[in-house]
Amino acid sequence: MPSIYKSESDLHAIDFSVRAGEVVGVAGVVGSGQTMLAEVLAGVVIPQSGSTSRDPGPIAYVPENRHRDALALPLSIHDNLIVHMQKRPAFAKGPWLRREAIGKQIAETLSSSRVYGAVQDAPASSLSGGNQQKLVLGRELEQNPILLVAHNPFRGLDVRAIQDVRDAVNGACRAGCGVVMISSDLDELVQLAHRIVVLFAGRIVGEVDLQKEGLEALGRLMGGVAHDGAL
Amino acid sequence: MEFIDTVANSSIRLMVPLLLAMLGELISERSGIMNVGLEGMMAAGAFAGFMASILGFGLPAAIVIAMIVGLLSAGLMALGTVWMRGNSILVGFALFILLPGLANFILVQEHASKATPALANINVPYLSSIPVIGSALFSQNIFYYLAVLLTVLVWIMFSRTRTGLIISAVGHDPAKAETKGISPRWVQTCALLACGAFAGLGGASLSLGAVGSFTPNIIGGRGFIVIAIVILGRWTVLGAAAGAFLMGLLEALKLNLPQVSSIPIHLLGAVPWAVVIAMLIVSARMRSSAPRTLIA
Amino acid sequence: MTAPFKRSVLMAVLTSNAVTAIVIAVILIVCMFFAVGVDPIAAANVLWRSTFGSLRTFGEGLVRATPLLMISVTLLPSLRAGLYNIGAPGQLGAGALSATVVALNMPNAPSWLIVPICAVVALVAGGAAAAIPGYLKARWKTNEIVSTLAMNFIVVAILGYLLNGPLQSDFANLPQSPSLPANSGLPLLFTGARAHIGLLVALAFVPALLALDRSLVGYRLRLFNFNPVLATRAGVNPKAYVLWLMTLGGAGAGLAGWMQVAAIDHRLYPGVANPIGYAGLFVALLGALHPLGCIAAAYLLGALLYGGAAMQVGAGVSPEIIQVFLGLILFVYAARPNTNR
Repeated sequence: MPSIYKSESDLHAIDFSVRAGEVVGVAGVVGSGQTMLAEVLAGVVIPQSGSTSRDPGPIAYVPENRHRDALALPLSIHDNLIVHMQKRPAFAKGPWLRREAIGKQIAETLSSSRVYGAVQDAPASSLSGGNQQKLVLGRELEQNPILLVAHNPFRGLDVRAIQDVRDAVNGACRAGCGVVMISSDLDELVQLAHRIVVLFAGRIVGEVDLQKEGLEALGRLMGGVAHDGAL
Repeated sequence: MEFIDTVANSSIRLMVPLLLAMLGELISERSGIMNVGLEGMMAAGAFAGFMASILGFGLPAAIVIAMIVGLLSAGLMALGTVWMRGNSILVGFALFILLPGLANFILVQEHASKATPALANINVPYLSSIPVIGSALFSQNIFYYLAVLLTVLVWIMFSRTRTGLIISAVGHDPAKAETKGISPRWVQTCALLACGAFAGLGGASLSLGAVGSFTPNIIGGRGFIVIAIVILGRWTVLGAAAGAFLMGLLEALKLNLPQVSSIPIHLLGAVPWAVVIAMLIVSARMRSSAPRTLIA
Repeated sequence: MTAPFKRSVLMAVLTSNAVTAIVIAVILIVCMFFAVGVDPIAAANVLWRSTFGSLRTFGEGLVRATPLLMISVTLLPSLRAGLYNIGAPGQLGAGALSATVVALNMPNAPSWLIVPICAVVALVAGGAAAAIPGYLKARWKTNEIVSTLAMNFIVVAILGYLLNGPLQSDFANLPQSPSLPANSGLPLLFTGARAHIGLLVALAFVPALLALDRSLVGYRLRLFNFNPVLATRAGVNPKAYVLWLMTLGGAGAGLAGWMQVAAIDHRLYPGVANPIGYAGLFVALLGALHPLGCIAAAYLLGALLYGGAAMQVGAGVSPEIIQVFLGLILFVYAARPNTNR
């Protein structure tokens, strides 16, 4: 699989695990390697060394730049939704798409992701930012993934959309999906994550238990100050 | 020995149009635009210089006219790509079709087919007597000396001056350059205009210099060879200049080998292009230092 | 419900980039005519007569349109994916060459056998000629504009060598192959003109392409065109796609080469690809990258190419004006806001 681009910072010695139904937050400032980590976890980039082991199953990926990476804006909403569906025999037979089955599933996905009033044939660019994000999430979660990698999923969304996305993430969690939420937004992380690890300059520099330590400890790690005060 | 002399001399002479056009294409690509219409601009310059010459304008004026015509052609490219935001590949290709077509049309319609006055070689005294390389390096026509001078100037521009830095910055990250107060559109326009002037000069070096007249296929794909040279030279002046020399050498061999060997002429014509492909492969396998916003 | 639909399609076509570009180009050409002292009315007259004047001239327009359609339709998928294959002249030449070699070596085979064999051989040769730059692009991301152009010159060189040597006709000291045996010729569409069944072959690709658009692969191609990374997650192998897209374009050009040799020239010339070679790309662009647009653009250009030659005699305009016209159209067409900078 191709890499999207070469990031400035490489990742080093990442040791990371997620359990089913658990939300792991990854906190880090911009430039700490968040995007690279997201891509490696999502399987879009193959690391040059090291390995990932996971239970077999689909991976859901919600990238940070939804316009560029998660959607084909000029294409229709229909086309953007069937990205994963068309791989499965229920929706494609031989060289042809099963239009009826697809149509039903699309309607279901749109309503369960709370995207209302969308015309299937309209281009994805016609949707609002919030609806676009919900579309992406709906499409990704429709696969019943075992892992969801979300990078700054709430960026640019209004309050209603944020709530909807949060509900979708929680729903995935309850269904047994492991969630990795990579974010620079501490509030969201704190609200959703079971535990938070900190990424700095391409390394996992520590884990923060918010019950025991406070946000300040989190902030210090994100800024590169180690637990014992050394830089 | 004589063979080597001839080949050395021819290589340098044939390198000149490539070198001149290369400088222009380099400037354009460093600013982020691959000028696919280079061949068309070279043809425009070649034709303009040729017409100016047979209309009696004299060599210096003809050269200037060629550069101006090349610059105007690039202005069309800038209009279509930078300002109208058109697809740079298509606009360039359109000029590649349009400009030689215009030139050929005027050529045939006005029945203009004469030869331009032959250009005398300028010999640098004493240095041109050095065996083998002497006559090759120091006994060439005016375009050669111009090319060498301009190569040095462009090299200085990119490695030492602020202008070169600005151009490279725009090619690397136009958005960031904009935040620093640089207008990418104006920089790219100026880069394209410069490219056109160089292309016109390169074309003139063919019609006024090496070939001595204007024929429909005078540029012969050199515009695209130059694009490959810039890629192989990894977007540096020295690298691309070396590439230009390599292609000049190949062309010289193509012209002179049949006299000393029995390799069929036509197959020799394929060799430079096979080398172009090889160049593309080699440079793609090396770590790329392409300007990041460059398409294709 | 059909009337409003028809009107909107017509309006869409009339106001499309392609038509606007043609109109502007025509205006500019007329201005040019005045500048060089040519009567535009006389030129237009000649053009009209040579297009629709008689069955023969109509057939000539079809003859030239056929390879243009062939090349442009197979070029569409790769153009939509942003692959600029300008190697049609070389791929056409490769196809023509292989068809010629096969035909010359099987002079006694029955027609129903030799014609399809020549077609297949030409298709494979053209595809192979495009597969080389295609592989380079897929594997090493080499610039396909330069590599396909380089292949053009290489094929020309090979043709030059062969037609002045091993493949040269014994009768005249000209670079051309011996005459192709009659069994390899293509049947004509109607008497009185040279239009041949190659046109049907080319036309067959149009519904095939339309069907492809609606299929699973067509969906994946669409996704690949607009977001290659997302397409990878949808199951696309980008390298394979690039290779096959380029090969398809070459195969079409190869078939066009076969048609030229088998139906029109009946021998191989070094200039077999002129002037069709680059014009195929034009037709694809002017046809707005749609198969039906290609049909219209191919006929337009075919008629123009034939009429252009007639304009020299009829109105004193040299045929190079056609190239100017094409360049103008493409320039105006391309100088519009575009997402693929």
